[in-house]
Amino acid sequence: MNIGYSTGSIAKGDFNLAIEILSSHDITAIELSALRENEIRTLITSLNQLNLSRYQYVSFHAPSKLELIEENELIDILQSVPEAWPIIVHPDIISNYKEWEVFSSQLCIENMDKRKPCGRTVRDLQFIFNQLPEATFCLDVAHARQVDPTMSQCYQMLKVFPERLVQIHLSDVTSDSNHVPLNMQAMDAYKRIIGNIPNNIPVILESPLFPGPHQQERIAKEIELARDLFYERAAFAQ
Amino acid sequence: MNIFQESSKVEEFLRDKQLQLPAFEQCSENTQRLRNRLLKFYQNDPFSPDADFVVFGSIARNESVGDSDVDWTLLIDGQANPAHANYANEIRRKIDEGPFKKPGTAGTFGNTTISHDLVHYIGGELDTNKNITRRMLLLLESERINFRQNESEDGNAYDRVIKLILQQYFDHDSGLTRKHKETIPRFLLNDMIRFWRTMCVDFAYKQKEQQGQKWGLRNIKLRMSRKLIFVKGLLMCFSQYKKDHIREDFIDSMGNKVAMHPFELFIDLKEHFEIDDDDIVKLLKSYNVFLADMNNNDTRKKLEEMDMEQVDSDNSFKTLRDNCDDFKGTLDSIFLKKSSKLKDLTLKYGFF
Repeated sequence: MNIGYSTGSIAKGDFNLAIEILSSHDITAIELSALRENEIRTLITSLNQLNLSRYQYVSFHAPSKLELIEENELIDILQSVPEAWPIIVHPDIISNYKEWEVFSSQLCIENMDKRKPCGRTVRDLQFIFNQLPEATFCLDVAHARQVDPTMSQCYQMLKVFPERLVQIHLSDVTSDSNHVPLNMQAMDAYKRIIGNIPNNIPVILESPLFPGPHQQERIAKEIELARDLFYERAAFAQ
Repeated sequence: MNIFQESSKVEEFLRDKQLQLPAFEQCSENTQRLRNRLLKFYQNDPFSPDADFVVFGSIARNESVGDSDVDWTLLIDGQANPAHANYANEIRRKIDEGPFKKPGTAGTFGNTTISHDLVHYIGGELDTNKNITRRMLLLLESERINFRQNESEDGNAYDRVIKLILQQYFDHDSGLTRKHKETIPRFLLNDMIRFWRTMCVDFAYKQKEQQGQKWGLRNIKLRMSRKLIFVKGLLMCFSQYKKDHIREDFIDSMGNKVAMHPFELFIDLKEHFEIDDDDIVKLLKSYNVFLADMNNNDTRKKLEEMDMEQVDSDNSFKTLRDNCDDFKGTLDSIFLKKSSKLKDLTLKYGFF
């Protein structure tokens, strides 16, 4: 299976540094993050120069807030992302669904945390997918757990949208909605649903581990935890 | 006007039976007015996703009468925040200053409720009368006042806490988790029965403490509206009778039933449980009589003032009591007398 990391969780606003840090780790997937809108233009113009040949799976995370650029401007910019890369989008930045249809299945909607007004549950997502019938799905298990700690919503998401699922976001999220590294409590909750995630779905870690003491060791440990978690998924199948 | 949420099954049933339920409709209109007043408390949702303004009782059942109490709580599920107490005080002030009847003085309502107690203390010494009442009412007759009218009802504190409570009833029910045979959620059923009997015992306790005051009103409510939510609890639990329970499906299925009125649940499950339509019609008619009496200011006032010594000599109370007897008779018939899946389940799990 493909396990990888989001560049935004390794070096905020510096994708080149993140790619360099990740180059020494045993991963086969990467998500190029432009979560903050001031990062997107630089990232887009650099795409051709990035050496991503070692990765079997690449995705692109669009900004999570639009304050400096307009929605239609963002859509124009995102059209430079290679077609093979899913574009991960937070549904609360979408106001004009029609405009986003241009991306077809490349548009990958992520489920949201409890702060967001939409995209948190199966019902919310169903509404979005009705507007964007071709769109695919990125399941953020930490968001799903924060919204429903019993994991029943997460389970239902996997049951209702299996055809749309293209990627998993993995980390933990605190009650004030900050992403944090994996821990036993979060992993125990994820074990309840990972049996329902097909083996070919890439897992992108979003555990924030920024440059500092022991960063490389901590990244390696986080990847190992993710690998261990998914390795025995058959045992958790329902 | 939809008297039970927006259930097309119920509407179809009422149409099919050509059943007019004017008191239900009147109470539904009262409730909508009350709900609209509560919604005016805040122009925008003041709460973070960690808190929800939740109401119980007649508002949640869509059965408010002219002077129904507003039994409310500010349900907290998240980080401690001093602002929560401020919001609770503000809501209390708005209730006090508005055209609302305040909640009772027992302290069960009218303040904040922290999710941890509801989720962690199921049974044991810390599961106080107040705690079980709040927990059961969340499952049986509660409603979140949604200040974000255009947004989803899911994924908020109210929704999370209900799911977590249901998870506890699943995870600690060995019959469900071991998946050996067809069964129902017995842990939850036992708590539903405990809650119903707690309400009955509290009725006698209040009779003693308040020296028989308001006995008439309490007695009629216990025999009708309180009993009806117990019936909802039974239907919810029995609806889960099967083998190989899956926790997430259980939480989803039971979570959907939380929002349903007991009669909506009856109609929804009637084929499954082999319940006669005629019996449901009888129940609806009896309940309509009860609501009409509750919604009649003179009758209600008289009942409120009637103590235990007076009821036997009062003809109007006798009429109300006869209606309660009819209601009980029909429930006996549905759950205990007529052959049906529901009777089988009641006999199998309801007593021993």
